Amino acid sequence: MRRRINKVLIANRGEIAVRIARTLRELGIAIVAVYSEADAEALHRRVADESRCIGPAPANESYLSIDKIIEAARATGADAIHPGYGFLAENPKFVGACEEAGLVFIGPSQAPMFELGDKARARKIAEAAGVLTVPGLAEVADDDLAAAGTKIGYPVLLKPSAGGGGKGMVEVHAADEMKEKSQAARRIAKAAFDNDTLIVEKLVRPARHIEIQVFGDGQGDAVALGERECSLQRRHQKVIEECPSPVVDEAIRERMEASALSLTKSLKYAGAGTVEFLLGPKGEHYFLEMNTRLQVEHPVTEMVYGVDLVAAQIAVAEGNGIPQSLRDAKPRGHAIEARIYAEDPEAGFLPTPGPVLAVHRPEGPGIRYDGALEGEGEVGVDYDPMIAKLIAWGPDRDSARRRLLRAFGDLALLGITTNSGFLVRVLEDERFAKAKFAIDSLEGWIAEDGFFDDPNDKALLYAAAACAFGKRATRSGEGSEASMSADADVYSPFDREGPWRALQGKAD
Amino acid sequence: MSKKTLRLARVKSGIHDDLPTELRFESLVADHALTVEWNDLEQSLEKLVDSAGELLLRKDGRSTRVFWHRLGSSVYLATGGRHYRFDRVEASAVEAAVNDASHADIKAPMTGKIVKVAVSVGDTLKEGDTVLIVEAMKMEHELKAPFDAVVETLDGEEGAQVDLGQILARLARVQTD
Repeated sequence: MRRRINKVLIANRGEIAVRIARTLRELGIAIVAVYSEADAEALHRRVADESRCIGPAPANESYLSIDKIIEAARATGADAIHPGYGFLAENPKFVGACEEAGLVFIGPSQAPMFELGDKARARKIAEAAGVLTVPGLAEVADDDLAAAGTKIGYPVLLKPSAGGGGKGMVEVHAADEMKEKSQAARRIAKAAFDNDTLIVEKLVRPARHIEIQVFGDGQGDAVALGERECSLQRRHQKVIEECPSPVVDEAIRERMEASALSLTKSLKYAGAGTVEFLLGPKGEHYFLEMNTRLQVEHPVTEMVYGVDLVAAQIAVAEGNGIPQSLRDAKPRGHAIEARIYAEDPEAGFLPTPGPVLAVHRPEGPGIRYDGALEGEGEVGVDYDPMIAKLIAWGPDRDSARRRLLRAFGDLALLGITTNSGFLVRVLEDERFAKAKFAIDSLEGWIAEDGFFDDPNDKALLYAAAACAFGKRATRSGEGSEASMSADADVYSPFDREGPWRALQGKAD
Repeated sequence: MSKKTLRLARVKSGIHDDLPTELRFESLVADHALTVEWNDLEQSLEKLVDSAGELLLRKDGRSTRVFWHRLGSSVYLATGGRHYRFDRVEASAVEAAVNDASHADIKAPMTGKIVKVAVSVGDTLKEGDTVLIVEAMKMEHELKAPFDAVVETLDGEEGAQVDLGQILARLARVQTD
């Protein structure tokens, strides 16, 4: 069925809402933002044509409220909803509610989302589609867990069946640990996903986390757009991703794409999806799960394949099938993404919410900054601490890596502590440059003595600080507040007439 | 041209990293030259660009872009993707930990707010015990007893705004054998 989408409500916030709005703007589709009371000043609201407040800061009362979002869509006359990632993006009830309200959900239909949302069911579906899964067992009773571990072979990984995003996964290295660890795992699963069912899988190590981007038409046809390498993780959260993977050759890629397509086609899947695999040391791949949404790391695929996955999602939602541009897409060069979190790597990666005073964004060919902070703002305590992604494309892997490092040099997120320096440290690491890493590598690097040592020249920092203290305090509104003016001592020896003033911008 | 003095404390993970560094610096306008001195080290740089929020500094033939933002007694810097915060601190704050033999004044290390008063007048403290916690920009700074002491005076309650250098408590040393 063909239909024209004229107005889309973005049921999300932050960088992904801003990114989706960009494509909608390009397509000439009207943009509706929803925002919580905490996000009244947020960029994702300002880039929209209209916006609706959907409740207080806690996500349960705003971005996770199906009723409020459907009501906002009705009130604004939106004809479709894009869920982004996270929040309601993989909630089949939300898909059902959209259908009932006569709204197009930009994503897969309810049935495949429901089937794939549970890891135990997803394993069975993958096996039925002829895809190899990690050796393991689903839905094992407590008394049988230790025996299951022995049968599979330790170490094993306990995963919440209803989980996602790496949350609540617990490693068990021997049978005598099973009782204690499984009780903890069930508690976490119950608390996080309201379902304490666990699956037991062999802990395949060393392994890489490789995922295949797929795109289906909802009728049983699908295309694959290569892989993404996501092995650099901390606590099962991806930190740096790239496309292509430095270890996936043409033969492995063909096999992995074939597996991913077999599963996607068997489900008559519609739109963008990602099939996650573990790649073992002998080049063998095991199905992990399928994410029924746009991934955080989708930009690396977009840059290498020259496609716009959000535009393609809309084309499929309009009933136009898989765009020819996706069928014809050929990979070119290499792209690397780094996730910028408001967290303090030197204080155990604790989140660091707070005010942002100034933002400088990098520019230049092959650079992409997906973020939701511009100038003054606030990183709140209510949502995910990922605040931006910096992505660089280059003709080869090392060019992309060097370009990303250069881009970080032109990035400033002032006033808030982020992991930016940590990301630079990882990108500079020789092991990263040589692509010598697997899933557990990053945790090991972080634990090394001196990993966080600062290579910057103290003289440079002190000179810069002295220059900055010689200025009036900066603030948007440029010293208009009395309290700031009172504080603004201009004792600097630099604020004097001299030949160099010709180069000086107007600072105050 | 006279040299200027500035006491800087690097702020890391919400607290002052170590004892502040006393910095002397000088700018020779004619050739953009800049010198900084600390701990008997002297280094020369050139300032190529100095605009709103951005500096271009050259040292040893290499120019480096530094972004900056100043808020009150704090300066935020970013260069090469690494980010820093330096606070300008009072001389007295530098010396607080090595106060005179009998007493120590606990002073606010920055303009901010008292978030916790951990002691009462008359309390006996061990060296390193927290006296107060002052917060600015959601960064907490713990003020600790420099030696075993009794709290003699206490000025300030939780939630109160304090100014840089303001005396918040006075401790009397307890002689231990």
